Amino acid sequence: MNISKITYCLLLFASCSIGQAYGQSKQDSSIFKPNSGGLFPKKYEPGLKNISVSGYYRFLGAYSSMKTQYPEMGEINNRVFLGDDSNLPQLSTTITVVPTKNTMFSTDLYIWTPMTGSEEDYVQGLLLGVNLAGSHSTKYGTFGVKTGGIHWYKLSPMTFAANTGYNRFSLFERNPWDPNTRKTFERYETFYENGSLSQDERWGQQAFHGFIFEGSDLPHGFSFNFMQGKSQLNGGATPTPNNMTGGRIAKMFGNNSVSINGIRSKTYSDSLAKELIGFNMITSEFQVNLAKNIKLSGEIGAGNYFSPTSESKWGEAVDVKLNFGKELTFFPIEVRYFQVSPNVINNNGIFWNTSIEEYAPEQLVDPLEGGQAPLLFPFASSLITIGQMTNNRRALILNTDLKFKRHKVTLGYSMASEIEARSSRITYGHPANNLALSRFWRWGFPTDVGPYGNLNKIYRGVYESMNITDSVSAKGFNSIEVSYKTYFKVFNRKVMLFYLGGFHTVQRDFSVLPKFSKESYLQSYNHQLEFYYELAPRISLSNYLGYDRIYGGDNTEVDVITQAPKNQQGISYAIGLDLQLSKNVGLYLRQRWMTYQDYSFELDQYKGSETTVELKIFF
Amino acid sequence: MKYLLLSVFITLLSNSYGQQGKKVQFVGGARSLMSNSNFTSDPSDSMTAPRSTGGYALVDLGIKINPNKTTEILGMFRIRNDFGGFWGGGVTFGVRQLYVRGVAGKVLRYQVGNLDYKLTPYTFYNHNADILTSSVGTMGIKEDIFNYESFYRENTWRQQGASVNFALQFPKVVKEIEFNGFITRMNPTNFADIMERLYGGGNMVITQGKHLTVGLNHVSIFDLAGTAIDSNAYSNNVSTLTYDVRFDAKKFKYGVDGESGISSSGLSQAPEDALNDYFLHARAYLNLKKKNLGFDLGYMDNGADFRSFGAQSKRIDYSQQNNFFKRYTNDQILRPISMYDIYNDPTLFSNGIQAGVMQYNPAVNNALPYGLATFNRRGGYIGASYSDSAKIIDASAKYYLLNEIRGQGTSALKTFNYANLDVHFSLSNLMKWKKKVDVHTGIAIQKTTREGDFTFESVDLSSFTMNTGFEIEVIEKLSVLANVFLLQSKGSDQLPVRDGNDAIVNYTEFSVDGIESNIAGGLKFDFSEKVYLAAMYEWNKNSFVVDNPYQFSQMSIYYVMKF
Repeated sequence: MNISKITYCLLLFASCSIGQAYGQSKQDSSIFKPNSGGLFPKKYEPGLKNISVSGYYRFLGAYSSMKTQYPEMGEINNRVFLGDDSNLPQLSTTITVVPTKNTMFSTDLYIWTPMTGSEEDYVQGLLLGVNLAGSHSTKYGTFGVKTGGIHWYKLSPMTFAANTGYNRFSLFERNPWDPNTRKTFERYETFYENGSLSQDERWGQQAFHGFIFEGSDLPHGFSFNFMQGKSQLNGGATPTPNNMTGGRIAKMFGNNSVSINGIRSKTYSDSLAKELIGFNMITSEFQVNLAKNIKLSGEIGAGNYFSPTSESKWGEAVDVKLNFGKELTFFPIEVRYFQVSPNVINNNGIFWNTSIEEYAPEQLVDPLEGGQAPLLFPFASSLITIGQMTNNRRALILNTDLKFKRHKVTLGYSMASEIEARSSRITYGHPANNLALSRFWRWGFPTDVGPYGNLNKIYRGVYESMNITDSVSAKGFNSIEVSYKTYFKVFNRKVMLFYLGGFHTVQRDFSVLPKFSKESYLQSYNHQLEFYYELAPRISLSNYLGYDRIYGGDNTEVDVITQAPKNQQGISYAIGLDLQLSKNVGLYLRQRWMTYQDYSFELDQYKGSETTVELKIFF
Repeated sequence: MKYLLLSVFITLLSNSYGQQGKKVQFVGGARSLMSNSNFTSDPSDSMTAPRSTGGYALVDLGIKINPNKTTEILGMFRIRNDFGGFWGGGVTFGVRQLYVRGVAGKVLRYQVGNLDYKLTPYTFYNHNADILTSSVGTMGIKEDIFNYESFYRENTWRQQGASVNFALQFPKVVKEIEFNGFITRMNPTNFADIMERLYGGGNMVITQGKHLTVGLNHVSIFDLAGTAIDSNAYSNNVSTLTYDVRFDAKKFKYGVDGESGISSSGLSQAPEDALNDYFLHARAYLNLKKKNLGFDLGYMDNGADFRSFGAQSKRIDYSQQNNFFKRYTNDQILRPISMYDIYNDPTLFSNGIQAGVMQYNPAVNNALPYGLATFNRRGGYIGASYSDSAKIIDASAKYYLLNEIRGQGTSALKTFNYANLDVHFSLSNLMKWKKKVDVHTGIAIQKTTREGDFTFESVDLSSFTMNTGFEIEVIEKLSVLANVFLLQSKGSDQLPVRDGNDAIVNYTEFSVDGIESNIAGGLKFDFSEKVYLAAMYEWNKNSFVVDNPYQFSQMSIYYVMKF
């Protein structure tokens, strides 16, 4: 069809479409025109030519074979499991549409199957939902808005962020969110070079569902963020308000910055929505270069928890870091102090709740729908890694990074104590077999499991609780953490060697130095040694050796038979292969042999192996 | 074939086919809404939760495929995510529309699947009888949403079926003859007492030249015999003639147009109960070109038994229950559908026609509850309009004086006085500002009266509706919005109670004395013509439930994208 015909067509149909939609008060001068009917629309409505689709496919299969296992596991020793916890999908796609140059919306779509053999056993859905975003630049700054489904977002560490820690972790087990690298060995080289891995957008951020309004590049170095909606803890689609509001106003002073941050989370404990329950927190985050090689940064604020039965007392929250450059002290030193009152709670921040029991959760209008709750249940007195924070605790932490030619060491030391004596329980983990242990219980996060009912599963981990037998005190915690990295060559190919060590004690009172004796409630020592060998440009061999030893102290619970406190030993050896099948396609094989035994508690032991296969493809 | 030119029906397709190599395009939209409401009624109410949050985000993703130059397939998916649903909770998937259309043999345009269709005001037409249209202000945003959700565009109804369209053009006597035909499915059979029900029809429009256009129209709702055990088939047939005789002089344009026809409605096994009637509607119009003034004078006589459900189906079925604060007070009474609900809840709107007389709200529109196709109305109207070339003012007004043709429960007849006014004023065009400053107001006044010897015959119902919107662009692309909506009604009427066959079995008194007011303000940012973000706050007071007035406030954030 030539242009004149198209023009003719347009004119012809435009003449048929003069009629408009009118309300009762509007005149419709063309309503009786005999030729105003027919099929609509009369005008052609062009669409977008392109939308983008990205995502990944991830197959994860596991086979475990146990020679010894917990009695609650029954008589079946061998298990095949296809999939990952929390129904992480095998195929995840993100469809992104850009209607204008500064607006976009996206929706994800996942497909998951447990591969049961049934043709009908498929699950499809959304993880992040439907997201809309837009931005607009003016001479006053750039303004943006995000609404709809889940956005990964961050305000400040204490108000709305996820903990990123000090990068002292094992690389052997891959996380669901780990990317494929250009070459398989690049993952390990990057960790050696940078001390960290490149992570996806979730790293350090929290999931938020609602409305975000933000402004940047504002006059005089100002920026702001405002968010109204729901964090993961406010989930649930009931009409009773269960929301959080957060915000941040920041100003840059050259290389220095200061911000004011706030968050308020609230819901109601009654059906008439009159009795509030929730928390407030307001902080100031700052970063100041005091001198050429001295930097002060951190966050100071206050918060409270309110419910019909609580006194809503405010408490302090302080997290301050003083960093000295190596030019000043020969090696870089970070001195960090944090103190978070037991009255302060915010499970959207980087510190855990160890102090506040949630107000009668069964009385909530929407009790624990979909695993959600206004607050996370307290972890009791937790033995935590350096970098993790909890409320009801104050701590002084020293960190440093050392480098001697190819040898890199990061050292951390923490001395901490609780502020108030609140709990007669201590919780701790088992680093050597932590992930494999968490796979004993699938599809859910059960509590009080294990042969003695003292294990609690969390996402990709398990923590154990132990009771103390003397009076409750404000306990002291000491930790030493060492990370060592080096490389060398075998047959002219690189071998990366990583070591991770943790030495922790929990004792009745604050102590400057750890007490490696039965006087401590708990002693936990662990070593994790990893080798990665570049067999070929697309093939890497990985090895892992883990060992942990945990002792209960004199004033802790004992076994009824042996009358002895906890005496636990976990050993794990694993070997694996990383294969790059093609661009963006990686195959990861892992074989682990593990053994664990508590020499005092007879039933607390397992021994076996686990094989995992992961195929991951990005597109 | 020299005298027969094929009119071209492929406007829709020609543009896309002109773009070589683009076989797939994407159409649709996305929208998110978050709201927070606070409801107040009787202070002693200890049963109703006063606070409510809600919202959703959704995306409509349509894939438009052109397998060849004359065929187009559209499939549109809807993914909806309720506010509060995390990690896949509260997610629903659906299909919003599916059709295929094209041109057969370069002559016949066809479409199969979802159709947006209309014919004439008395045969197949989606009258807007309950909403005072306001394209300006906060209400404009809400209209935009419920029109999109309900597929309301240019008074069409969304149907599922097939349509064809072609035309013939001639060099002499008759300029063009256009043919439209459609067949749609209203409901499937249940193989027992419900037959397959179809709705079909079409028209032939003859354009003689620049002075005369005539249309012959016919539509029929009918049950397909033999598709269920029950053989008592229903049918509603309407045949009409539309016409437009027009003359165009140098200074003015004038003409006569209108529609007249007959209808029959009933069941095949009860022909004695069939409803047969006719209607007449004629209008004379005059447009003074230089003065931008228009006048029209009309007469209508819609028989009491005239039934044409393709034109008499209402957008809103008032027999529904609303979804927002559905019950209140300690007795948890149902909260009737208010104008606020109509503007805010697209699920209250019908997506298709319904065979049967639908309920209406006399407080909103008692004179013409089914639009111009309302049965049992006789009378005249006069209208005027003004629209200047600088687009400063676009105004129209109309006054109807109507009577019933057949008394309802009495031989006395009701009289309906109905006046409406619509004014769109652009201050920015007047002052020649670049930034938009628009005001739009719509007003409707109705009064229904009936006098008689008996008390029950006495009817006196009046209502006043006003919707005024403001839109002031304060900085580029950012506008301040405001709306004032008011519905006031007082008096009483006698309304018929109908059985399942639409036969009147009784009369009930409708008594009202209430006001609903809605004041709203907000901000709107236009990323583009089709993408905007708006935040609004509104206060609503309603006293139509006499002993249980209520009020609420609501904060809403809308983000709307179309592509």
